[in-house]
Amino acid sequence: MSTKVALEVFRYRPEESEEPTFQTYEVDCPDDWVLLDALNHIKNDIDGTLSYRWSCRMGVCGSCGMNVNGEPVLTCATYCKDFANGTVRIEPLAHFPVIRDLVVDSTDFMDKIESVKPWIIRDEEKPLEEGEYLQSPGELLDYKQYTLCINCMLCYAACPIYARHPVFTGPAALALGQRYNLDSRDQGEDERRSVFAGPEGVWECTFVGDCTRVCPKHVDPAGAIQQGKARHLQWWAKKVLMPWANK
Amino acid sequence: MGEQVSKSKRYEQQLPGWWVFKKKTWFVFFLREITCIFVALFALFYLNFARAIYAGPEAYEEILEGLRTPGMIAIHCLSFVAVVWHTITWFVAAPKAMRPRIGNKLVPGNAIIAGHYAGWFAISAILFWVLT
Repeated sequence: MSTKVALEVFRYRPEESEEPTFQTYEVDCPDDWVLLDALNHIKNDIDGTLSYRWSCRMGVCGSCGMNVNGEPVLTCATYCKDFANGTVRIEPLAHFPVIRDLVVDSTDFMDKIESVKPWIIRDEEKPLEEGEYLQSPGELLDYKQYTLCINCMLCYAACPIYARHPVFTGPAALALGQRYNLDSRDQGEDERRSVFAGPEGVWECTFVGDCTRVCPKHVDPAGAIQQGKARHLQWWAKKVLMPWANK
Repeated sequence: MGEQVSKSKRYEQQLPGWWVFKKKTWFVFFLREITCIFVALFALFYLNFARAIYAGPEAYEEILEGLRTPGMIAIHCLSFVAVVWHTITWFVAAPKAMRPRIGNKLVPGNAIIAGHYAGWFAISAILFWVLT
Protein backbone atom coordinates (compact mmCIF):
# COMPACT_ATOMS: atom_id res chain seq x y z
CA MET A 1 0.00 0.00 0.00
CA SER A 2 1.14 3.53 -0.72
CA THR A 3 -0.35 6.99 -0.59
CA LYS A 4 0.26 10.16 -2.54
CA VAL A 5 1.47 13.06 -0.46
CA ALA A 6 2.26 16.58 -1.65
CA LEU A 7 5.23 17.94 0.27
CA GLU A 8 5.43 21.73 0.35
CA VAL A 9 9.06 22.22 1.23
CA PHE A 10 10.62 25.45 2.48
CA ARG A 11 13.47 26.49 0.19
CA TYR A 12 16.04 29.11 1.05
CA ARG A 13 19.06 29.55 -1.16
CA PRO A 14 20.76 32.78 -0.12
CA GLU A 15 22.85 32.97 -3.28
CA GLU A 16 19.62 33.10 -5.36
CA SER A 17 17.16 35.05 -3.24
CA GLU A 18 16.98 36.76 0.12
CA GLU A 19 13.43 35.52 0.65
CA PRO A 20 12.44 31.87 1.09
CA THR A 21 9.95 30.13 -1.19
CA PHE A 22 7.98 26.89 -1.07
CA GLN A 23 8.48 24.09 -3.58
CA THR A 24 5.94 21.29 -3.92
CA TYR A 25 6.96 17.69 -4.58
CA GLU A 26 4.39 14.96 -5.24
CA VAL A 27 5.64 11.76 -3.65
CA ASP A 28 4.16 8.28 -3.72
CA CYS A 29 4.85 7.10 -0.17
CA PRO A 30 4.68 3.42 0.89
CA ASP A 31 2.87 3.00 4.22
CA ASP A 32 6.06 2.33 6.14
CA TRP A 33 7.72 5.56 5.01
CA VAL A 34 8.34 8.37 7.41
CA LEU A 35 8.70 11.97 6.21
CA LEU A 36 12.47 11.62 6.30
CA ASP A 37 12.20 8.75 3.79
CA ALA A 38 10.15 11.03 1.53
CA LEU A 39 12.77 13.78 1.82
CA ASN A 40 15.54 11.27 1.04
CA HIS A 41 13.54 10.15 -2.00
CA ILE A 42 13.27 13.77 -3.18
CA LYS A 43 16.98 14.34 -2.59
CA ASN A 44 18.05 11.11 -4.35
CA ASP A 45 15.59 10.94 -7.25
CA ILE A 46 13.88 14.29 -7.83
CA ASP A 47 15.91 17.29 -6.68
CA GLY A 48 19.46 16.88 -5.42
CA THR A 49 19.70 20.55 -4.42
CA LEU A 50 17.48 20.11 -1.35
CA SER A 51 19.41 20.50 1.93
CA TYR A 52 18.45 19.10 5.34
CA ARG A 53 20.04 17.32 8.28
CA TRP A 54 19.58 13.70 9.24
CA SER A 55 21.60 10.81 10.57
CA CYS A 56 20.31 7.84 12.59
CA ARG A 57 16.73 7.46 11.25
CA MET A 58 15.62 6.04 14.59
CA GLY A 59 14.87 8.96 16.92
CA VAL A 60 18.22 8.91 18.69
CA CYS A 61 20.49 11.50 17.07
CA GLY A 62 18.02 14.41 17.12
CA SER A 63 19.21 15.74 13.73
CA CYS A 64 16.06 15.56 11.62
CA GLY A 65 13.81 17.89 13.60
CA MET A 66 11.66 20.13 11.36
CA ASN A 67 8.41 22.02 11.56
CA VAL A 68 5.69 19.92 9.95
CA ASN A 69 2.40 21.72 9.42
CA GLY A 70 3.59 24.19 12.04
CA GLU A 71 4.51 21.63 14.68
CA PRO A 72 8.12 20.74 15.55
CA VAL A 73 8.62 16.98 15.08
CA LEU A 74 11.32 14.44 14.31
CA THR A 75 10.75 13.60 10.65
CA CYS A 76 12.11 10.10 11.24
CA ALA A 77 9.21 9.46 13.62
CA THR A 78 6.38 11.02 11.60
CA TYR A 79 4.64 8.76 9.10
CA CYS A 80 3.65 9.94 5.61
CA LYS A 81 0.42 7.94 5.77
CA ASP A 82 -0.80 10.33 8.47
CA PHE A 83 -1.03 12.91 5.68
CA ALA A 84 -2.53 10.54 3.09
CA ASN A 85 -3.76 12.26 -0.08
CA GLY A 86 -3.10 15.61 1.48
CA THR A 87 -0.50 18.31 1.66
CA VAL A 88 2.17 18.54 4.27
CA ARG A 89 4.18 21.70 4.78
CA ILE A 90 7.78 21.11 5.84
CA GLU A 91 9.75 24.03 7.25
CA PRO A 92 12.98 24.40 9.19
CA LEU A 93 12.72 24.35 12.97
CA ALA A 94 11.03 27.58 13.97
CA HIS A 95 12.80 30.42 15.80
CA PHE A 96 16.29 29.52 14.54
CA PRO A 97 18.13 31.37 11.75
CA VAL A 98 18.05 29.37 8.51
CA ILE A 99 21.33 28.66 6.73
CA ARG A 100 19.85 26.84 3.75
CA ASP A 101 16.53 25.14 2.98
CA LEU A 102 15.73 23.07 6.08
CA VAL A 103 19.10 23.53 7.77
CA VAL A 104 19.15 25.88 10.76
CA ASP A 105 22.05 27.50 12.58
CA SER A 106 22.33 25.75 15.95
CA THR A 107 25.28 27.78 17.29
CA ASP A 108 23.11 29.64 19.82
CA PHE A 109 21.68 26.36 21.10
CA MET A 110 25.15 24.85 21.52
CA ASP A 111 26.37 27.95 23.40
CA LYS A 112 23.37 27.73 25.73
CA ILE A 113 23.93 24.05 26.44
CA GLU A 114 27.53 24.86 27.41
CA SER A 115 26.47 27.84 29.56
CA VAL A 116 24.79 25.60 32.17
CA LYS A 117 28.03 23.63 32.72
CA PRO A 118 26.52 20.22 31.96
CA TRP A 119 29.05 18.11 33.79
CA ILE A 120 29.57 16.98 37.37
CA ILE A 121 31.33 19.66 39.39
CA ARG A 122 32.97 18.72 42.69
CA ASP A 123 34.36 21.06 45.31
CA GLU A 124 37.19 18.60 45.62
CA GLU A 125 37.68 15.35 43.72
CA LYS A 126 38.30 12.38 45.97
CA PRO A 127 41.33 10.19 45.16
CA LEU A 128 40.70 7.35 42.71
CA GLU A 129 41.66 4.72 45.28
CA GLU A 130 38.63 5.75 47.36
CA GLY A 131 36.42 4.36 44.62
CA GLU A 132 33.34 5.59 42.80
CA TYR A 133 30.69 8.02 44.05
CA LEU A 134 27.82 5.82 45.14
CA GLN A 135 24.20 6.67 44.42
CA SER A 136 20.94 4.99 45.42
CA PRO A 137 18.24 4.10 42.83
CA GLY A 138 16.08 6.82 44.38
CA GLU A 139 18.79 9.45 43.92
CA LEU A 140 19.12 8.34 40.29
CA LEU A 141 15.36 8.70 39.88
CA ASP A 142 15.57 12.38 40.89
CA TYR A 143 17.29 13.32 37.61
CA LYS A 144 17.08 10.31 35.27
CA GLN A 145 14.23 11.73 33.21
CA TYR A 146 16.36 14.75 32.30
CA THR A 147 19.21 12.59 30.97
CA LEU A 148 17.03 11.41 28.08
CA CYS A 149 17.35 14.61 26.04
CA ILE A 150 18.73 14.07 22.53
CA ASN A 151 19.36 17.78 21.80
CA CYS A 152 16.87 17.76 18.92
CA MET A 153 15.93 21.42 19.61
CA LEU A 154 12.20 20.78 19.10
CA CYS A 155 11.54 22.41 22.48
CA TYR A 156 13.16 25.66 21.31
CA ALA A 157 11.08 25.58 18.13
CA ALA A 158 7.96 25.19 20.30
CA CYS A 159 8.85 27.93 22.79
CA PRO A 160 7.38 31.37 22.02
CA ILE A 161 9.45 32.90 24.83
CA TYR A 162 12.69 31.89 23.10
CA ALA A 163 11.29 33.28 19.85
CA ARG A 164 10.42 36.66 21.39
CA HIS A 165 13.46 36.84 23.66
CA PRO A 166 16.31 34.80 22.16
CA VAL A 167 18.66 35.43 25.08
CA PHE A 168 16.46 33.10 27.16
CA THR A 169 18.61 30.08 28.00
CA GLY A 170 15.72 27.87 26.94
CA PRO A 171 14.13 24.52 27.78
CA ALA A 172 16.72 21.88 26.87
CA ALA A 173 19.69 23.73 28.38
CA LEU A 174 17.88 24.51 31.64
CA ALA A 175 16.58 20.93 31.90
CA LEU A 176 20.13 19.69 31.40
CA GLY A 177 21.45 22.06 34.06
CA GLN A 178 18.70 20.91 36.40
CA ARG A 179 19.72 17.32 35.70
CA TYR A 180 23.14 18.09 37.23
CA ASN A 181 21.72 20.22 40.05
CA LEU A 182 19.61 17.21 41.09
CA ASP A 183 22.49 14.73 40.84
CA SER A 184 23.60 13.74 44.35
CA ARG A 185 27.23 13.54 43.16
CA ASP A 186 27.25 17.14 41.93
CA GLN A 187 28.24 20.21 43.96
CA GLY A 188 28.08 22.80 41.19
CA GLU A 189 24.67 24.41 41.77
CA ASP A 190 26.24 27.66 43.00
CA GLU A 191 28.28 27.88 39.77
CA ARG A 192 25.16 27.39 37.65
CA ARG A 193 23.05 29.85 39.63
CA SER A 194 24.14 32.91 37.66
CA VAL A 195 22.62 31.32 34.53
CA PHE A 196 19.64 29.71 36.26
CA ALA A 197 18.56 32.68 38.34
CA GLY A 198 19.84 35.43 36.06
CA PRO A 199 17.73 37.51 33.67
CA GLU A 200 18.11 34.82 30.98
CA GLY A 201 17.29 31.88 33.23
CA VAL A 202 14.29 30.07 34.69
CA TRP A 203 12.32 33.21 35.56
CA GLU A 204 12.04 34.10 31.86
CA CYS A 205 9.85 31.00 31.41
CA THR A 206 6.14 31.76 31.64
CA PHE A 207 5.24 28.06 31.57
CA VAL A 208 3.56 27.83 28.19
CA GLY A 209 4.37 24.12 28.39
CA ASP A 210 4.75 23.42 24.67
CA CYS A 211 8.37 22.32 25.15
CA THR A 212 7.14 19.35 27.16
CA ARG A 213 4.29 18.64 24.74
CA VAL A 214 6.56 18.31 21.70
CA CYS A 215 9.48 16.52 23.40
CA PRO A 216 9.92 13.16 21.62
CA LYS A 217 11.69 11.67 24.65
CA HIS A 218 9.26 12.87 27.35
CA VAL A 219 11.97 14.78 29.14
CA ASP A 220 9.53 17.41 30.49
CA PRO A 221 11.76 20.49 30.29
CA ALA A 222 8.88 22.70 31.50
CA GLY A 223 8.77 20.66 34.70
CA ALA A 224 12.53 20.93 35.13
CA ILE A 225 12.32 24.71 34.80
CA GLN A 226 9.49 25.01 37.35
CA GLN A 227 11.54 22.90 39.76
CA GLY A 228 14.47 25.20 39.08
CA LYS A 229 12.28 28.14 40.11
CA ALA A 230 11.14 26.37 43.30
CA ARG A 231 14.74 25.46 44.11
CA HIS A 232 15.93 29.02 43.57
CA LEU A 233 13.14 30.37 45.79
CA GLN A 234 14.14 27.94 48.55
CA TRP A 235 17.77 29.05 48.25
CA TRP A 236 16.75 32.72 48.30
CA ALA A 237 14.42 32.30 51.30
CA LYS A 238 17.13 30.45 53.19
CA LYS A 239 19.61 33.19 52.34
CA VAL A 240 17.27 35.91 53.63
CA LEU A 241 15.87 34.11 56.68
CA MET A 242 18.97 32.17 57.71
CA PRO A 243 21.97 34.07 56.32
CA TRP A 244 24.34 32.10 58.53
CA ALA A 245 23.24 28.78 56.95
CA ASN A 246 24.62 29.56 53.48
CA LYS A 247 28.08 30.43 54.75
CA MET B 1 34.85 25.68 5.31
CA GLY B 2 33.81 26.85 8.80
CA GLU B 3 34.68 30.42 7.85
CA GLN B 4 32.61 30.10 4.67
CA VAL B 5 29.56 28.96 6.66
CA SER B 6 29.88 31.71 9.25
CA LYS B 7 29.92 34.37 6.53
CA SER B 8 26.85 33.12 4.66
CA LYS B 9 23.52 34.93 4.99
CA ARG B 10 20.90 33.70 7.44
CA TYR B 11 17.15 33.95 7.07
CA GLU B 12 15.74 35.15 10.40
CA GLN B 13 12.41 33.51 11.25
CA GLN B 14 10.23 35.97 13.14
CA LEU B 15 7.28 35.36 15.41
CA PRO B 16 4.51 37.93 14.83
CA GLY B 17 3.31 40.24 17.61
CA TRP B 18 -0.05 38.41 17.66
CA TRP B 19 1.71 35.10 18.39
CA VAL B 20 -0.75 34.02 21.11
CA PHE B 21 -3.39 33.51 18.42
CA LYS B 22 -1.09 31.41 16.24
CA LYS B 23 -1.54 28.11 18.10
CA LYS B 24 -4.33 26.74 20.25
CA THR B 25 -1.92 25.85 23.08
CA TRP B 26 -0.50 29.38 23.06
CA PHE B 27 -4.00 30.87 23.19
CA VAL B 28 -4.94 28.62 26.13
CA PHE B 29 -1.76 29.81 27.85
CA PHE B 30 -2.79 33.42 27.16
CA LEU B 31 -6.25 32.84 28.66
CA ARG B 32 -4.68 31.21 31.72
CA GLU B 33 -2.40 34.20 32.22
CA ILE B 34 -5.15 36.82 31.92
CA THR B 35 -7.13 35.09 34.67
CA CYS B 36 -4.53 36.75 36.94
CA ILE B 37 -6.37 40.01 36.35
CA PHE B 38 -9.53 38.54 37.88
CA VAL B 39 -7.55 37.16 40.81
CA ALA B 40 -6.22 40.70 41.39
CA LEU B 41 -9.77 42.14 41.05
CA PHE B 42 -11.08 39.69 43.64
CA ALA B 43 -8.27 40.58 46.02
CA LEU B 44 -8.90 44.33 45.59
CA PHE B 45 -12.62 43.86 46.07
CA TYR B 46 -12.18 41.97 49.33
CA LEU B 47 -9.69 44.53 50.60
CA ASN B 48 -12.32 47.19 49.94
CA PHE B 49 -14.93 44.98 51.60
CA ALA B 50 -12.75 44.67 54.72
CA ARG B 51 -12.27 48.46 54.72
CA ALA B 52 -16.07 48.95 54.59
CA ILE B 53 -16.63 46.56 57.51
CA TYR B 54 -14.04 48.52 59.51
CA ALA B 55 -15.62 51.85 58.48
CA GLY B 56 -19.00 50.98 59.94
CA PRO B 57 -22.59 49.86 59.07
CA GLU B 58 -23.25 52.64 56.56
CA ALA B 59 -20.20 51.89 54.43
CA TYR B 60 -20.96 48.18 54.64
CA GLU B 61 -24.55 48.71 53.44
CA GLU B 62 -23.26 50.90 50.62
CA ILE B 63 -20.99 48.07 49.42
CA LEU B 64 -23.85 45.55 49.62
CA GLU B 65 -26.09 47.90 47.64
CA GLY B 66 -23.44 48.19 44.93
CA LEU B 67 -23.13 44.42 44.76
CA ARG B 68 -26.82 44.00 43.90
CA THR B 69 -26.47 45.71 40.51
CA PRO B 70 -26.57 43.46 37.39
CA GLY B 71 -23.12 44.67 36.26
CA MET B 72 -21.47 43.69 39.56
CA ILE B 73 -23.25 40.33 39.57
CA ALA B 74 -21.98 39.65 36.01
CA ILE B 75 -18.42 40.71 36.88
CA HIS B 76 -18.43 38.48 39.97
CA CYS B 77 -19.77 35.48 38.04
CA LEU B 78 -17.05 35.96 35.39
CA SER B 79 -14.39 36.51 38.04
CA PHE B 80 -15.47 33.39 39.91
CA VAL B 81 -15.12 31.22 36.79
CA ALA B 82 -11.73 32.80 36.00
CA VAL B 83 -10.40 32.35 39.53
CA VAL B 84 -11.56 28.73 39.74
CA TRP B 85 -9.91 28.02 36.38
CA HIS B 86 -6.75 29.80 37.54
CA THR B 87 -6.71 27.63 40.66
CA ILE B 88 -7.23 24.42 38.70
CA THR B 89 -4.36 25.26 36.31
CA TRP B 90 -2.10 25.81 39.32
CA PHE B 91 -3.07 22.44 40.76
CA VAL B 92 -2.44 20.73 37.42
CA ALA B 93 0.98 22.42 37.29
CA ALA B 94 1.90 21.40 40.85
CA PRO B 95 3.39 17.97 39.97
CA LYS B 96 5.66 19.71 37.46
CA ALA B 97 7.14 22.00 40.09
CA MET B 98 7.52 19.36 42.78
CA ARG B 99 8.67 15.76 42.44
CA PRO B 100 8.70 14.41 46.01
CA ARG B 101 10.24 10.98 46.42
CA ILE B 102 9.53 8.41 49.11
CA GLY B 103 12.45 6.00 49.25
CA ASN B 104 13.07 4.80 45.72
CA LYS B 105 9.66 5.82 44.37
CA LEU B 106 8.41 9.18 43.13
CA VAL B 107 5.03 10.31 44.47
CA PRO B 108 2.57 10.03 41.53
CA GLY B 109 1.46 13.34 40.00
CA ASN B 110 -2.23 12.51 40.54
CA ALA B 111 -1.63 12.11 44.28
CA ILE B 112 -0.04 15.59 44.40
CA ILE B 113 -3.00 17.10 42.54
CA ALA B 114 -5.46 15.25 44.80
CA GLY B 115 -3.62 16.60 47.86
CA HIS B 116 -4.05 20.15 46.58
CA TYR B 117 -7.79 19.64 45.99
CA ALA B 118 -8.14 18.11 49.47
CA GLY B 119 -6.43 21.16 50.98
CA TRP B 120 -8.63 23.52 48.97
CA PHE B 121 -11.86 21.82 50.07
CA ALA B 122 -10.69 21.56 53.68
CA ILE B 123 -9.83 25.29 53.90
CA SER B 124 -13.11 26.20 52.14
CA ALA B 125 -15.08 24.04 54.62
CA ILE B 126 -13.33 25.67 57.59
CA LEU B 127 -14.04 29.15 56.22
CA PHE B 128 -17.68 28.22 55.57
CA TRP B 129 -18.00 26.92 59.15
CA VAL B 130 -16.40 30.08 60.60
CA LEU B 131 -18.50 32.48 58.53
CA THR B 132 -21.93 30.84 58.99
